[in-house]
Amino acid sequence: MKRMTGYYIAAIVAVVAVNSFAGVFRSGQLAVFLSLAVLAVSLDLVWGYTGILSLGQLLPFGTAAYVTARMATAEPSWSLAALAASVIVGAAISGLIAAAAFYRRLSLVVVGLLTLMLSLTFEKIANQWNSVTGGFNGLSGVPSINLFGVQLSAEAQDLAAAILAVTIIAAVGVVVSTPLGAVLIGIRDNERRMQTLGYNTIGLKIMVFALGGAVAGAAGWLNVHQTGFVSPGKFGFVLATNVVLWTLVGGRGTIIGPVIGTLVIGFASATLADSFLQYWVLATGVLFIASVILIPDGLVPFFLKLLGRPARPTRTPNLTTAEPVSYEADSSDVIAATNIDKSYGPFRVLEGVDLTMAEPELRCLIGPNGAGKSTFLDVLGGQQPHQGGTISMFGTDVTNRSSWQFARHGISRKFQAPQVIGSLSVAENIAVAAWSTKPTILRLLTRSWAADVGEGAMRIIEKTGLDDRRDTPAGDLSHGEKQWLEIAMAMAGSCRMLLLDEPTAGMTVEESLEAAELLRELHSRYELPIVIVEHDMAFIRAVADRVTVLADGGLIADGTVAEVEADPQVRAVYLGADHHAA
Amino acid sequence: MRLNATNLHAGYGGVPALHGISMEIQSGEIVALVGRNGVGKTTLVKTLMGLLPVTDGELLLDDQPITNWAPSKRVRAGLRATFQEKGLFQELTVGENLRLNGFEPNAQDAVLEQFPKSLSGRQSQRAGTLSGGEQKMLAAACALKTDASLIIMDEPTEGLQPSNVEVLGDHIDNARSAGRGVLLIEQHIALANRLADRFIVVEKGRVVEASPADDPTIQTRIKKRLAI
Amino acid sequence: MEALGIELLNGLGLFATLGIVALGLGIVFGLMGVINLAHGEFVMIGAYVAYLVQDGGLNYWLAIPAAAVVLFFVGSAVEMVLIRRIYQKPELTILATFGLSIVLRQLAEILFSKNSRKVSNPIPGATDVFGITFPTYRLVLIVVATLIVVAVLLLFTKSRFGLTVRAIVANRGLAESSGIRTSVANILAFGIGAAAAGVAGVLVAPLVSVDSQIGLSYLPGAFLVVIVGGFTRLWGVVIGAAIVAAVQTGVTHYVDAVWAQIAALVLAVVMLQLSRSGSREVTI
Repeated sequence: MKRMTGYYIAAIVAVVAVNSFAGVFRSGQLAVFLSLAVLAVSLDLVWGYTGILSLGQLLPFGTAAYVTARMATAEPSWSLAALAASVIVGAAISGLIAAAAFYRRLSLVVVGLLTLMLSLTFEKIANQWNSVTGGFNGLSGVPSINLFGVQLSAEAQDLAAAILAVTIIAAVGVVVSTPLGAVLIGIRDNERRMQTLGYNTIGLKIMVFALGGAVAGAAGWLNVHQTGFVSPGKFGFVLATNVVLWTLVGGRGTIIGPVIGTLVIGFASATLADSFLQYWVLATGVLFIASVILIPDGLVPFFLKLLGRPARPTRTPNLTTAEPVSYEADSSDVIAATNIDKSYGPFRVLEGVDLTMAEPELRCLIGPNGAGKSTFLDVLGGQQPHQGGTISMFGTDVTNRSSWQFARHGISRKFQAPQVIGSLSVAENIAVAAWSTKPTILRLLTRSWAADVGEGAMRIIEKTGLDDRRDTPAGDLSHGEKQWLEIAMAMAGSCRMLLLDEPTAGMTVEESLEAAELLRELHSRYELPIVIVEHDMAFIRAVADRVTVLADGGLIADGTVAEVEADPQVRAVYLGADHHAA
Repeated sequence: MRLNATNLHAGYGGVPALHGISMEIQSGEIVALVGRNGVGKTTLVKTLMGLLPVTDGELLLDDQPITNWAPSKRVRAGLRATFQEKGLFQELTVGENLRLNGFEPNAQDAVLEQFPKSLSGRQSQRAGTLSGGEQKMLAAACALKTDASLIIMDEPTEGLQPSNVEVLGDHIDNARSAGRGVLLIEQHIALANRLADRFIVVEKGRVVEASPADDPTIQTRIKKRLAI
Repeated sequence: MEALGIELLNGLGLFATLGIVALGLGIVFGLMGVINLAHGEFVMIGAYVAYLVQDGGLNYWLAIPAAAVVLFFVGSAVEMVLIRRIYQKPELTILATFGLSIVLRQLAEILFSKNSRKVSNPIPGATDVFGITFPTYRLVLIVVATLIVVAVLLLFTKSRFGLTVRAIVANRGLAESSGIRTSVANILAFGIGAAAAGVAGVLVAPLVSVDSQIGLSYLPGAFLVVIVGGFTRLWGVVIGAAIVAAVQTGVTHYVDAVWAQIAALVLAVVMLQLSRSGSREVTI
């Protein structure tokens, strides 16, 4: 926070210096480019922090610009009301686009395409809808900012617009440095993991788009007041292209990168375009292709890497052990899944599977390939919908709730391939998992950079040596360490049950046995119910209270390890029906 | 033709599944590779075919390094594979599937007369509408009836009825008689016992047993490894 | 009645143009999952080829094979130099083709200046169709464009090459394992897609002022067609073109052009919400 305050003050000093010494022309230019930098930052929020390229950031910006032009030219000028309107309209437009895109889970390419078409259509409509937009010529004569009846002079306007732009950018910088920013990075890197931690990722992504739209709306308001006019040419395809270029070249996901990109390319184009317009535009195209091929992450991350620094400075959150949550003892079953049916299209994977666990136990699910084990675990964790049957966990019916609702009910899931958030540090991964107990936007924005972590998770990171690597980005961990980090994340929040899919995959024999020991310890110490899909019999013998056997989408045996091993049907399934004949 | 794998490492999305497998197969022999599920058998098939990148180790085809060859280049050099799942183009017809494997319409009857006979005259049916067993048999035919020198078969009998297992076994045997090599990957060992010249047992992404089929102790060792 | 007849022919004209412009876009997306934002510029190059052919004193119709050949090579080169490096990252293909479109537009502006060029109508005059007088060339365009679209679709559905392409779309890994060189198929598909765009450019050239910006005006319509047609099936291009042409012509006739734009866009959004195809992730 200290460093950011420093940057902010330095930026304000720079703006004031330019306004005092560089002359009216340069000051005005700076204010225009800063208003465009705000637009680029709004794109960075959307693209850099949710990973979704929107070519339609122009829509909230342009619409706000037209709204502002209309309202500010009224007598008396509705300048400040226009700011509110711009922010609201911008947020609404972007929120709607996001809702349309995310509820159907459109692919990245399709979202890019759709937003591009929206931009192109926006320009056409602005051109043709004369009565409202002024058509091709647009609306001109927009006065400078009017504060409660005081019309700013040209010089005051330049300074005010620049300072306001810097302030908005700084505010966005503050937002992404809160826990909310870490959660957004988590969604960008690994949405499935975040859902399984209890975050409503679709809702959060829509909120971020809306926030980006609000910022873009404010940028539109600033820009119109600064330049005095709005036209389709100004808010058309070319700007849609340029804002993406600025963000791409500067480095998305950094906030400062797009600002630098906008200012550098903006001033360069203002200087060069007069004399070499054609070649300058050609150069922007070449720059586009070159940055995609050579520095796809952008300049700021590129230079930081050269200096040996991470693109995003890690700030290790303070992790403290949370008070254990005690749940009211009741007599209901831990798991009661009855008659579960699940098909993929015409292909039936599970047919009437029942699973009951009365007391917390450590249960292994085994079966040959294609038996439906992982699918069944997905159904138990809410990662996949099922067609028939009911699921009740700790006495609450959770049938067909979504993944994040299961997670908030305390059902924690670990996937076969470890799902951690690669760009966050070990401690940040744990903190993001712990914050999922109160995942509202307001709470994430305001809470401190520290987390109360479930005791089980703390125990895991101590026993597996992850504790000494709190600052390491999770992407740099070894495979085995990622497995443990993921289990720790599963236990960091309000975990009441663990579902593990092949936790020993990729582990050596010794590591598997150590894993068995640690899982037994967690199970007995916290009376934690654990369900594990596994193949490794040595591991299963070491860990399981009970074993359930699935074959061909149905349950064929259930009992202790010894009972199941002696079962002739199970032996037949594993060794082949005519094994005895051989 | 001989395929050598030395110290192969590979995996999915950062999860290692092969921890240094070394093995070889040559024309004229059937090698059975057995192991419980999840030990990396399917990963091995994909790695041998070039569908999954090798993270370490080397693959040689007749002493020529092929580690970085595209799958299609390996196929053109005489290597083939059948897959455990989705071995056919579901949206295309039986005839089109055969055609993509080099059997022009006038040669298709000759293939289907041998096996799978139940598909004779059904060339215009969509492959996705065939039963699971028919799909497996057709995919096996597509590989066994080409002129490939080495054929890798990933669990070809899974889900087949016993009579079809017999038929398939005969055709694999014929392929060996015709001088081809077959790497037979099986979770169930009945067919492997009938056909194999050599056995390889894989556990946790490593070769843990390798012996000729006439080794008197191999059967007990395999049973011990596969038993639950 | 006559007004309606003219609208019908206008709609058919739009249908044919949209179909042939969207064809290449559909091929490239269907096979490789790549959205080519420079597709409109391929159309533009085709239009300039028509101009150069006529300017050089040659017969206009020679421009069709000439544009097809030139753009086949341009498209193949783009695949080999640019697209190949970034297949795995869909958003980068959007950005790279975005950049390419700027480069191509600007090169055209530098070579041919900002002044638009005129390609003269090879078949001037009008013809009576059921009592409606309609420009002859536009009738010919409807026929020629339809023939070309059908020919390309037949190539992709009936030929051996088409079978190979459908196999790749169905399962790229299995296709490779059957010995199909998918990297070669990618080059061909990109080349054919670009060639189709080039032919489209030749065909529309006599109807418009040829300048560096014309590609931009065709792009949104072509994308709409691909979205409405459902992305993966090539015949979807025909259906998509028919629907978009009908909606645009109808709304323009009864309301106005602005609402036609909005209606077409709403249609695309609705189609995306209804179909599952939009959520198809690119599988390579």
